[in-house]
Amino acid sequence: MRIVRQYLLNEYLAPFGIALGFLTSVFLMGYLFQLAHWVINKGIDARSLLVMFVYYIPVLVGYTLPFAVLAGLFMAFHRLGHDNELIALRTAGVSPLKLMQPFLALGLLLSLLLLWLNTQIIPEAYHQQKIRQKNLGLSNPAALLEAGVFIKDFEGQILFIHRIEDNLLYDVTIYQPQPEGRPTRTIVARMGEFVPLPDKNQILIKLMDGASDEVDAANPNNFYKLDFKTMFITLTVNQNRPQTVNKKPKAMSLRELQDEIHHLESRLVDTTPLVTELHRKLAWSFSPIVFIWLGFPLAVTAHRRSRQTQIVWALAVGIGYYLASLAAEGLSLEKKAPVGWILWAPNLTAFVVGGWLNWSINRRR
Amino acid sequence: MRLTERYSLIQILTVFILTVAVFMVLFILIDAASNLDEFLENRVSWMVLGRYYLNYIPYVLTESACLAAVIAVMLVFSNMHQNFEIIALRASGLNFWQISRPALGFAVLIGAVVLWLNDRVVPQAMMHTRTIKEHHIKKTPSPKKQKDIIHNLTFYGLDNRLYFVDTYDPNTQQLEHITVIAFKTPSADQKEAAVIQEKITALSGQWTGIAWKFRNVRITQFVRDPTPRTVVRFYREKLMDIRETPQDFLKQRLDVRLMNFQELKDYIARFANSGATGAINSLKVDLYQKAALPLRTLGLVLFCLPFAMSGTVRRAASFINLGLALLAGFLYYGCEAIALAFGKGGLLPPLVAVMTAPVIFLGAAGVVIAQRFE
Repeated sequence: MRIVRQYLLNEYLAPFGIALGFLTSVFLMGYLFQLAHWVINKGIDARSLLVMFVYYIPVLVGYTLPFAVLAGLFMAFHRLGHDNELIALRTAGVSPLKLMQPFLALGLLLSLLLLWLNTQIIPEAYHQQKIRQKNLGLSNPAALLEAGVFIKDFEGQILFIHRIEDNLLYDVTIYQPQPEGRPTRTIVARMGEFVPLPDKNQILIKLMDGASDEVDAANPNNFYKLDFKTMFITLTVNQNRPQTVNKKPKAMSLRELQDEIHHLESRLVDTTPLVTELHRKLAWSFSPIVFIWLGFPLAVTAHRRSRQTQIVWALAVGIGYYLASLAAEGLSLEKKAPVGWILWAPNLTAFVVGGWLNWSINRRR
Repeated sequence: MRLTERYSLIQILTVFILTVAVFMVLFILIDAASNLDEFLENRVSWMVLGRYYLNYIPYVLTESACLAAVIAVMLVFSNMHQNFEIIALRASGLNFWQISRPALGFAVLIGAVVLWLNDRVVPQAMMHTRTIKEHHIKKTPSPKKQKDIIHNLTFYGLDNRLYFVDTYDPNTQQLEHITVIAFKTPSADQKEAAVIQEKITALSGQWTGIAWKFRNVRITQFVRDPTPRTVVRFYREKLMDIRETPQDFLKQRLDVRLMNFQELKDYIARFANSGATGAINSLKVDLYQKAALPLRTLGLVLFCLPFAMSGTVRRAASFINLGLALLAGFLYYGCEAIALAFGKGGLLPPLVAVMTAPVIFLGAAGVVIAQRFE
């Protein structure tokens, strides 16, 4: 039995790995364009971007791992069924339940892995990604300067620069919208030179050979005009400081969620979103073993059909489970069902249905 | 169509549809899971959600179609190879090109469909998605059944003019606090990008049906010959020589990424005389990239096919070939991303930047085909 167990797991691991890599990579590929542009054209540190890229992976794996478990199961059993190896095993007296054991063990292992990811890694990755995304412009404010586009990333200013060469700007137009319906101030300069001040999230620009004018709101026939040889202007990046980014429930680890729930409960504040998120993290973590419990009898009986039919089965199971989970999350957030505990309903339903299916196939001898 | 071609094409199509369906489910699932609390908080109806995701589908299709086509072709042909069908076809006298015709035709078709979708459907669909998200999901306040008032409208218009408008009300076609700066088209030997020719500021503007009428207008002309001087004129009211209509003003809000081929081409033409070569290069890269999209699918399929149709027949061949398709996809996208970044940065001419990845992969495909089949 050990040989059979090893053999089955080997047959499963390759399609599972390919499915996981494939599904995760599809989402990562679109990211590559943005990363290359930021590194090559914006001068943003490649290491920071690589870290951001790496943080994105666990967030994706949290969604793609359960689908990969299902896909691997169906692909492996299609191959085994196609080569009549399943029939040979059953003829030799190996029951479907015995065949399922190594997969259940693997499912449990993957569920524990996903539990660790969902409760520790993914929240931190999610949070770090948000911080780094906000920081992207701040670590190198000069990266926000781009020729030929209207730049609205600075507080109280809209810039248009015709040409940028190194740190020199040519034909700069700066619009400064004024409050209380007053007319906009316009600054135009033939040339400019900028110095980034990343510590202060600012850029200092020395404008040369230009003019600033503004219409007198009280008397539109009058306007104020200032011609200058040089003028210094400070551009402040239009961002909140990243350290003040509040953690959403999705970005909280299990311990943080529990602590926050206790803290809020003591102040009689509604903790529904936090409790829902806590149960969601836990319930979704067991989706691999649930998929194996439910998917195995389907894969074993579906092997005679075409691969396409199997993919449809896998999709149907996956979509059904996730739709049910989303619905349960919605019911919990709306308090139309026991808050938090309702999120275990899809797992329970899948367990019951899977149990019935497994009993059916084991009954047939 | 030959029987064998129909046979492989049906299989390719089936796998392709299923693969795209998987991607769509995942995309929608991830988006729904991320935004669920917003949907519930703002009591978004099923109809609105349905419209939102329906408009999302064309974008997902264009993003996933290329890889799905490669996967489909690889799976089908590697299966055929495993079942010795490829050998049978070759033994019957068919060469590589004849056997792979359905796959290549499929790749070209998918490329054409993606091109059409990306040009005609996706820009509008993404605009609808944004609107639905802003007004029905995030519930940003806006008057019902009316167009939004636009604040800080900025765009590069015809005749080398920069427009800044504090507010534009599309319902009344009224502008508030307008600033227009006109640049003189630089000659070829001029080093500077542009010279300011005229500046127009006005407190308000109204579309009369045939022209814009500005009120409290100040026109400042920057004369250089014979001596540099500034000439300022005031008008209580003036009909302006502005060719943009209210519809053009509305269109200017478009993100360059949401423009279709013709809109982007027109935008570049408007910009062409500005002298802002860096920006024009970047836009040209975007423009050529839109036209070169079909080459991505063809390049990847042609590169991966020889591997699926040759080599030792192994049990795990399908998975190995899937892995190869994935690796090839990553390499292609990486190569394309770097080349496009170089193009936008001015390190490569726009056309060269766009064609780098297809040429490399089509060239490599030629080499592999020659080695394995000829």
